[in-house]
Order: sequence, then C-alpha cells, then structure tokens
Amino acid sequence: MNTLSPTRRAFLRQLGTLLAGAAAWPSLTLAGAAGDHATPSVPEGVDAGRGPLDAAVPGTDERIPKIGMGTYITFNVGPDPNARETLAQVLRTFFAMGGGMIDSSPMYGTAEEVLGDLLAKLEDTDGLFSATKVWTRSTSGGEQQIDDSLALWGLDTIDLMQVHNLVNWREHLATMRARRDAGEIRYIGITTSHGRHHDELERIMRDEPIDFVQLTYNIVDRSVEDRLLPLAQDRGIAVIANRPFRRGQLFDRFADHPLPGWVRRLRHRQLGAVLPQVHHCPRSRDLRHTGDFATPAHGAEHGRDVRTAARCRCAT
Amino acid sequence: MLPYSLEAWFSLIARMNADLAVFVVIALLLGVFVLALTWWPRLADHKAPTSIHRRLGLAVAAGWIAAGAVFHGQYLEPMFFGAPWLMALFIAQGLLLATVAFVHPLAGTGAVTPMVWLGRGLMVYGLLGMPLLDLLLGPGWPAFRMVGMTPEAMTVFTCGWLLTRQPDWRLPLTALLPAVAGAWAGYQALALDWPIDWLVTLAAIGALLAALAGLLTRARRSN
Repeated sequence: MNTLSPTRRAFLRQLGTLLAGAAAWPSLTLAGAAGDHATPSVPEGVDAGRGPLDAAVPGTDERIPKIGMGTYITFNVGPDPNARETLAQVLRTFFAMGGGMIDSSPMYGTAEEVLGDLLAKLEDTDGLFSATKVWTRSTSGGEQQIDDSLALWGLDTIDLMQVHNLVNWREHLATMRARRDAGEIRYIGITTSHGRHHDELERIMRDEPIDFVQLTYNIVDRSVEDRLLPLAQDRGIAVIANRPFRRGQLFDRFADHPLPGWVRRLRHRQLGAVLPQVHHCPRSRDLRHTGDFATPAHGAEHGRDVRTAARCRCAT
Repeated sequence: MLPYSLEAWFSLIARMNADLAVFVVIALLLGVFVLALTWWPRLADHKAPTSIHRRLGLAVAAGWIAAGAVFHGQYLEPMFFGAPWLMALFIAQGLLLATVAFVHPLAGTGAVTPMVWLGRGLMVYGLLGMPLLDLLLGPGWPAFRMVGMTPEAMTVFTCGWLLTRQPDWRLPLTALLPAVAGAWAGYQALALDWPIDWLVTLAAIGALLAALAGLLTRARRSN
C-alpha cells in the first residue's frame, strides 16, 4: 500500500514524541526514534552507554528511567503486520537506548495485545517497567481487566497498575491492594489527563496510600505546579507526566521559530529536549531573558509560552 | 479524540475488504440495484408498484444492519470501546427502515426536482465517489469504503436515497439516526484529519432538514 504522506509524518512524529527520548540524548532525530532502519540501533551521535536519566521510586531503592513511552493510538493497530513491524522497531530502539516504562490501558483498544505480542518477540526487554490501567465503572470488570492485562502483556506481575481517570477509584484501589498482596501488582497509582479532576485527585493523594500519580504536565499545562506536585513530594508519591508535548502540538507551535540564544548554549539543543526541561523549573525564579520565539505575529499566547520557557531556562 | 489513527482505521477497512471480498462485490451490486431502481423513470416515481419500493427499503435496511454488525461489531470493536454503541445505532436504523419498508414503504417522488438530483448525486458519491476518493487519497487498495459495508458510505448513500422519496412523516423519522451517524462521521473526520468526510455530515444533517422542510411544506399545502 502507499503511504499517507502528511499523516504518516504526523504518525512518525507522534511515535517520536512518545519515545520522548529526545529529552535525554543529544542528536536524537524523530526518524531514528521511529525506526527507519531494519536493525535495532541507537541513533547516530547518541552515547548509549551513558544511559538515560533515571529517578528513584519514592520510598524504595528502585530506579527507573525518567523517559517512558505511551501507547495511546500509536499501538492500537490491530493485526496490521506492517504497523506491528514498525512498532517492533520502535520498541527495539527504546530498549536499546535504555528505555523502561511503557504505559498502556484497556481503553486503548488493541494496544495491550499488540504490545504483549511484540514484547514476546523481542530479544531484549531488560528494564521493562510495565504500567497499565483499570478503566471501567464495574468492580468485577476491574478484576477482569487486571487479569486481561497480565495475560495480554504475558507477565506474571504488572509493575504499576493505575486507576484510569479516577473511574470508580475507591473500589479499584481496594482491588489493586488485594492483587498487590497476591504479588500480581508491584505499585498502585491513579491517573488523570487534560488537567481534569484535580480537586478530587488532590483528595485521593492526601487520603489514600498510593505509589504513583499520573497527570498532564508540559510547558503550557502547568496548573499541577500549584498544589499537586508539592503534595506529591510531601507524600512521597512518584509523578508521571503525560502529554509532555501535547500530542505533538508543541512541536507545531514552535517549529517555525528560531531557538532562543540561551538554548543554543545547551548541550541538548533540540526542541524535544528543551521543552520537557521546564518540568523542573521553580516558578519563583524569574529570568531576564524573554526569548527569541516571541514575535508580534504570534500574539500573547505564544508570548506567554515563550516567557515561561525563558523563565525556566534555570532548569537547564 | 479517538484511540485509533487514520492509518489504523484504513488498515481495518482494508482487512475487512480482503476478508469479505465476496460480500464487497455483493454490496456493490446491491448498491447499483438501489441506485438504478431509484433512477429509472417508471420505477422511481410514486406510481411504481409498492413491492419495488419495499425492496428498495429492505436493501437499504440490510446495508445498515450489515455495516453495524460486521464493521462495528466485528472489526472496529477490538480497537474502539464505543463501537458497540455505533453498532446498536446502525442496527436500530436498519430495523427501522425494514419496518417502514414492510408496513408502508417510502415511495419515490413524482417529479425529478433539484432535491431528487441532489439525492441521486449523494447516492453516486456514496456508491462510487467515496471509494474512489479513498483509493486516491488514502493508503490504496484495498482500503476503500463500500456501501453496505462501512458506515460513512452507507450514511451518505441513504441520505441521498431519502432525498428521492416522497416527503411525509416517515421521512424525518428515518433521517434522524443517519443524522446522528453523520455527526459521528464529522467528529471522526475532525479527529482523524480526514476532512472529505465532512460531506457525510453535511449530507446527513441536510437530509434531516430537507425531510422536515418537506413535511412542513406538505402540511401547509394541505391546509
């Protein structure tokens, strides 16, 4: 079959976004991340031996790579053999570069099935940190989804099981604790996205003993900085940031703008590497630089993003 | 936002067409049959035998039930949690059309008005135009949408057919669920960045509005 040129580019870019490895290694190109080569490879210029940035799971000695991979849309390809082969290459590259966490959900159609099939065929999946979710209003349905996930991934233990978008979270957390006691789950978490349900999420984080929380956090969506991130730090809850590039929108937004001078001085000079670094920026630090992104043609919204980005250059 | 990409969606259609190639040919022939009977002067108008209109209605109904049960129920369901709802919508529309066909079939109009021409145009688009555009703009053979197999082609084809029918109270009734299906097609077009399917939405909403307008006009005349 032919390819869909514009959408294929978007598809590859999204795969690259999901890999998000650009944040951790210099010179990583999206094409390399999406796997144009037939053999597992580390993109040219990448020092694979250096390994990715990692972080400890709070309260444990376990360290996992900071850069993970999502499976929404991209792994929901059904039985299409060509798409599966492309994804196999993505996974090979991901593991070859030290990737660990892969996050999925029963909501993502065939993603878990595709993932399990490909993981079984890969030679090397060392370092896999499996993360998936329960997404149903039914308590018994949640039990079934955990069983299904274990079977689909082909694992005896799921590293992280999360309640998807807070759906029936009380019952599902109880179920997950029981399954954790049975050794089928290692960590328990809860997720939200698009900045929704933050008040309820905050209550859960205060009142419930959970290990992980997943929320939307990127250079534009920063509302979690006010209460949720400090609370996570206080409570020793690991944080997973989803939509780090807003499904690629941030690349489109900044693609036509020259990188500001302070970025050119960085070791990681690509946009994909620069954008996630604001995650570690204290808001109170106000910097002098206003950035070269800002132009009158792009108005206040762009200007605000640029100022935010510039303010956060301290994180680099 | 949908949990599948345009590529995955076309891949699904290609796989269905490959698996059910015989049924694709049957669906095409059935579509040609409906189009021909709608176009043919002596068979298309209100003076034609009821049995003709009944067969037309049943053929269209069968397309809705097949698209719902096979495409949504069998192929899309593993990839999309909302597929069972879409299946229910299409089967419900199929049963409604079948009931109308049995009880009091929708007859053709007596005159070939601009609305009838528009309806015929939409039928041709659903039957031939959409598959051709899919092949030209999409990933290629065999990823094309056929009337009686896929929801968008069935929706636009049916909306066209409804525009060729005499306006009475059954017309808006049978155009209601296609309008819902058309709205969904528009959302999907937006989510998958496949703008040619906005025509499906326009056809579906337009058919419902035309049916309502025809009903009002007829009521006004009878007064």
